[in-house]
Amino acid sequence: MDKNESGRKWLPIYTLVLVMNLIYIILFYFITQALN
Amino acid sequence: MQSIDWIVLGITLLFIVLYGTWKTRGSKNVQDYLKGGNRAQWWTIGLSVMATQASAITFLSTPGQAFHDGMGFVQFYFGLPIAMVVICLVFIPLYHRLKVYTAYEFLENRFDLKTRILAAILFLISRGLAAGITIFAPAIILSAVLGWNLTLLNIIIGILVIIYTVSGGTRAVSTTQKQQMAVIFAGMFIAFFLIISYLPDGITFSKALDIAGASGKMEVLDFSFDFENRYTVWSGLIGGTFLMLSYFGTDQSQVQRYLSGRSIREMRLGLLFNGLLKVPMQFFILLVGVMVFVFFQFNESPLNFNPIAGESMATSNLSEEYENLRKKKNAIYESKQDLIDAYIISPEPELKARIASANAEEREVREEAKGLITQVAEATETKIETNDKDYVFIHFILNYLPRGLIGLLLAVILSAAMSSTASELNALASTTAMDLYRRGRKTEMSEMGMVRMSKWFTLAWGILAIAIACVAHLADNLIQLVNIIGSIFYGNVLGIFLIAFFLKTVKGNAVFTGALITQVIVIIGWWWDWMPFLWLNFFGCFLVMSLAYILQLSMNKK
Repeated sequence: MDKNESGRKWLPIYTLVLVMNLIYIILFYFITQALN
Repeated sequence: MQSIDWIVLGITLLFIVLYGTWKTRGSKNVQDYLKGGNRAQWWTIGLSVMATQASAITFLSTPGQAFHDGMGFVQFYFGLPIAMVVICLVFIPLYHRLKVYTAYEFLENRFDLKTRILAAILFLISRGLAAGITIFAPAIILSAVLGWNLTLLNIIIGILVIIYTVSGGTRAVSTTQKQQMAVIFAGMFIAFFLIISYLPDGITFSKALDIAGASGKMEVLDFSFDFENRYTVWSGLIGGTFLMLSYFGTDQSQVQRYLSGRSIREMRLGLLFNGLLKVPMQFFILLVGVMVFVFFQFNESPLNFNPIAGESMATSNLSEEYENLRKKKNAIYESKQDLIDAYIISPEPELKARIASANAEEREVREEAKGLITQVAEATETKIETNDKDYVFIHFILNYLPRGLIGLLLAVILSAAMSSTASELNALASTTAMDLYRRGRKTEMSEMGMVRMSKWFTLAWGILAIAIACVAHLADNLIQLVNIIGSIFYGNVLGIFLIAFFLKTVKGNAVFTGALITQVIVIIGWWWDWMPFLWLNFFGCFLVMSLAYILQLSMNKK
């Protein structure tokens, strides 16, 4: 498995996708709180 | 529908079909036809994956879901980004290294031929039926509201898809999906901004959100641990991850989209693009539904959005009761006007509580109306859909959008139907050609011979999908039946793949025997109603992994 396939250099972008998902959830939490 | 709508609809669909067919003609070999020559870039893969998942029902049903139940459905997608990361980490490197054409080809490499064929057949049964429903589901709604002939509509959608999918294979599917997604995004954005502009003077977007919030439509998150509640943060994160993992990782209609990537980098970026965009996209489609709800706070809405239901009730022996309910709903609507006006000026909790109570009352009236419709349907032995969520958005489109835009929005719905069906036919043909036909042949076949066979398989699956769509109305709850069949097989197939990836000691015989026993037990469990059918997914996956592991241990001892 070469470096590209190993996925290690992809960790920052995987983290970004998961953090964005968390940000969406936090944003939805504030929307729920603010509008209900 | 005016002539301009027919022109917009006709030109949009014909352009996509003809351009897709012309641009991708002349595949030279199997790799060209089934993997698009491995030329797809990440944005093509990302859009293709999104277009495959978003069927016509996504655009008809999701706004209606938000209209009735609010924004909570978006939680269902919270597991998707997690699943995308797992697929990028585990599934893609293996598929890419083995240069497989189908996901099931990997199973022969890891286990044996019989496991590959078993998984391929399970896919063909469930996806073959689903392809028919992908055509039928929007066709029955459009035929009800527009009076179009249902069989003719099924045949037209099917033939349009067959033309470019047979001709250009995977590259035609992804080329057309880019244009279809452009039409879909343009149509939905225009519809959204028009709804906002149709609200009365003084009702800004922010005030519209306030009204939606006061009516309980903006409860996006639910942190409760209630198993009866289908959409919670937990069911989205846990159940959603599991479901999306099986769909994107093992269903050939999705796997084929990223296998067409130029490199492993493009495949990963395509899926991560989907992981980033899917949640906001679903949120936006639901928001369109919520804005339609706000719109109907200032405009009268029908008691039931399904026009067939209204027509049947008008001539039934319960017409008087139905009319009384309609008057009751209109009285609630009138009383709400004053409450909303007062709430906009001064958003006091007491007013909010009164709006919520008026909405609850309206919901009760609508439920009572559904009860009457069911009574009439039973008495006259006719099938009438009482759940009208699929009809809310199309009712708004046909009655309130300007000329020309109706045609564009119908093109959105038909484009979505065609993009999902094309991926399904393409994947069904690939699996039949590579996992069954080529693998079963004793002699090698020429590249062009295999391309020709793959085209014939695409055509055959297309004709079968049209045939299923045409007889679908004869079966009771066929859509539910397809979901049940999916749940019966999906868990088992995912379990086989998870064993392949994570239980390295388990070999082919143990997996095959475990999968067969699991399939029998899951079917018995469904027959005797052991659990709600959606849980059969999880049950099947868990069972095949446990059984295969135990069988391998006992085989090792022998």
